[in-house]
Amino acid sequence: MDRVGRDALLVVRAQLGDRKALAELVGHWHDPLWRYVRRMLDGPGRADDVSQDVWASALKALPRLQQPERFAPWLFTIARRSVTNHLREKYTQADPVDGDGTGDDDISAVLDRAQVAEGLVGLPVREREVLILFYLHDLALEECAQVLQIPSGTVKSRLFRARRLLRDSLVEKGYSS
Amino acid sequence: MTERPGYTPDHIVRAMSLPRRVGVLVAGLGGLAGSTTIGLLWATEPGALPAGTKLVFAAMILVGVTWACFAGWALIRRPLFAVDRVITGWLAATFSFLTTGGTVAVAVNRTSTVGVLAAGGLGLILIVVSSTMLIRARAYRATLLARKRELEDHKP
Repeated sequence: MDRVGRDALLVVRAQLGDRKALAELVGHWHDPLWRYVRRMLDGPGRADDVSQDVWASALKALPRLQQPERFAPWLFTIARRSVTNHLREKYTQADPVDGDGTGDDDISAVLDRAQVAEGLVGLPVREREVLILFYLHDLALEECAQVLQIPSGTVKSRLFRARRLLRDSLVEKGYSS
Repeated sequence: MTERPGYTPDHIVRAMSLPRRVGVLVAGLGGLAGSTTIGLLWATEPGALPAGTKLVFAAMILVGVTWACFAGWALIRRPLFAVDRVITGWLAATFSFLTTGGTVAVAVNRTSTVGVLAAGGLGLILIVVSSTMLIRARAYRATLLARKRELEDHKP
């Protein structure tokens, strides 16, 4: 059973009141959710606070989730909203203009998770979050689009720009492309 | 990044314990039923009650209402899953029937026909509301069970 099917069944069992299914569901997404929040915010303590708030909101709303197969994008949408609320206090940068790139370049071939994680430090928030969702959490383009509430095409162009920024950052750190 | 979360999944799901929530619900419904019955006894008392009795009745009503408010607050803050809704529906229906029976019995012995009709009418409203909650909860659970079977059938 793939990840989407597994989550859908766990969500329905949890909605029925099966505490084991709920624990299993939380267990699957506990680390990925925390890592997403951690990479978007400063300090592990802050990530703990925000991710626990995210879980509280998500579990409260779980009985009303109509499409259990969309659990992952739904959870990350809640997380993103919480992260955005926290970042809003810190960042006041203007919206960057989305480009028209197609999103395929040679950097994809050489990126691995460790490099991505290292290169994320210092990237702008929008580029950082799309890379985290796409590369580190393996969300599909459509799922990223749902979480970020933007069209798939914009996800592609944002990924294209993010990869270029990441490549520049990695080259500066001594990696070759 | 080798950092780890400062809490575990168990920490998140611990608050969802079913026995704890049922306990809160029973306490709340018990408080509501108790304060309603005492209030009715007080209201239908033919003679004036001694000051001490009034004080004790008022305190018991306050305690019952406080438990009902606490239970409502605690349950609203937590998610209500299908089984929770069904249990809530059954408990609410049971307490509604018991409270209605108690209040009508008191009214028959102590008040006029108008009092009996008022107690019966109030009880009927409680029974209709709680029974509707129970029916909707069972329908919601049946829908989810059908969905669960559907997903399990598609399991490779």
